[in-house]
Amino acid sequence: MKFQYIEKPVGKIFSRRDFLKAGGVMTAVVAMTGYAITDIIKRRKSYIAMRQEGLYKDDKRCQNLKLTSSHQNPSCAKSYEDLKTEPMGEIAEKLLHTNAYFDRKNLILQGANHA
Amino acid sequence: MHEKRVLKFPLSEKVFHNVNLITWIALIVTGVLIYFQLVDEPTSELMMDWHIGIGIVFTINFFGFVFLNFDRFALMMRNLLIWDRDTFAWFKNFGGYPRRLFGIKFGPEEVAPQGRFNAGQKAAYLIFMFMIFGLIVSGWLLYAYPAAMGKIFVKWMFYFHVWGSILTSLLAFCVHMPLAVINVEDLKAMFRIGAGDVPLDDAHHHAPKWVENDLMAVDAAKPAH
Repeated sequence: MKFQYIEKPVGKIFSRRDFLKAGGVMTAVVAMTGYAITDIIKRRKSYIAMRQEGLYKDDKRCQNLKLTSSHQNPSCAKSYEDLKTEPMGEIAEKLLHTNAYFDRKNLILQGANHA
Repeated sequence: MHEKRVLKFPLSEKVFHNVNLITWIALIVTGVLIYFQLVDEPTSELMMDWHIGIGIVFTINFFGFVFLNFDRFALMMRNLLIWDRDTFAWFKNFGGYPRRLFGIKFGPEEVAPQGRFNAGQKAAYLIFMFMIFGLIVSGWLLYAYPAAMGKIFVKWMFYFHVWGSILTSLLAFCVHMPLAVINVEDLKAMFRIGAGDVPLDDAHHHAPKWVENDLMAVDAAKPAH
């Protein structure tokens, strides 16, 4: 045997008071963190659901007016007409589309101050 | 005569500590490279993949230790959470380290007897444990649920994740590591292959209350037949 002494097992060291103290602190930390996180996610999800509902309502309204796509909007259609092009047309693509693609998935959290 | 030795770091604590050490260093290096934009975009993406992969090991290591070795975790938390009169008395001279290391005559010469961890270690290790848990939680929430949490919460959690890890790393590299190197017996016990034992005299010098109250002879642990 390399060593002659070891720490007493937990049952012999831990008094009831120690157990309550350590258990209480750990439970409090886990419970408070868990509550805060689930509460935030729950509230956030309710906003998402409300927004989703609003968007569906808007969609329904547009469908009733036969305006399911932006190019069916009269002012957009007029712009295409003025430019003598059509949606996805050569001139539209040249004027309205961007040619650069930026992979933004790893961008640092910029603009968060505008939240 | 053969010197008496005491097992200070059982295998479970050595595995937890050393995997924690390696993964922490890898996480802080990859994290700093990404956050301060020290590498180009493709390398940054690769670093993020590594950061997430190593984060998985870091998480498993922590929860593995807590759940598979709950006795050791409970003992460690107990040792960290006992703040008695001697613990507070340690701060009168900061364990005598300013006097020993820098010749600064700060506080009384005699150091108050400490348990397995001295007061400075208790404070630092509580911060480490809190940060390990906090970084795991914040890291996974940032990875998995950013859209569900809202911009403000994500922003503050992100700052906690980045600056919390940087400040904790500074505490580890500038205070914990140099003091660990000074305490040679503990250092050897933690990093040598095999039992993490230290001489009983050394343990008594650093942690007299631990030796007196918490230790027992190995033979006494054997079941009676």
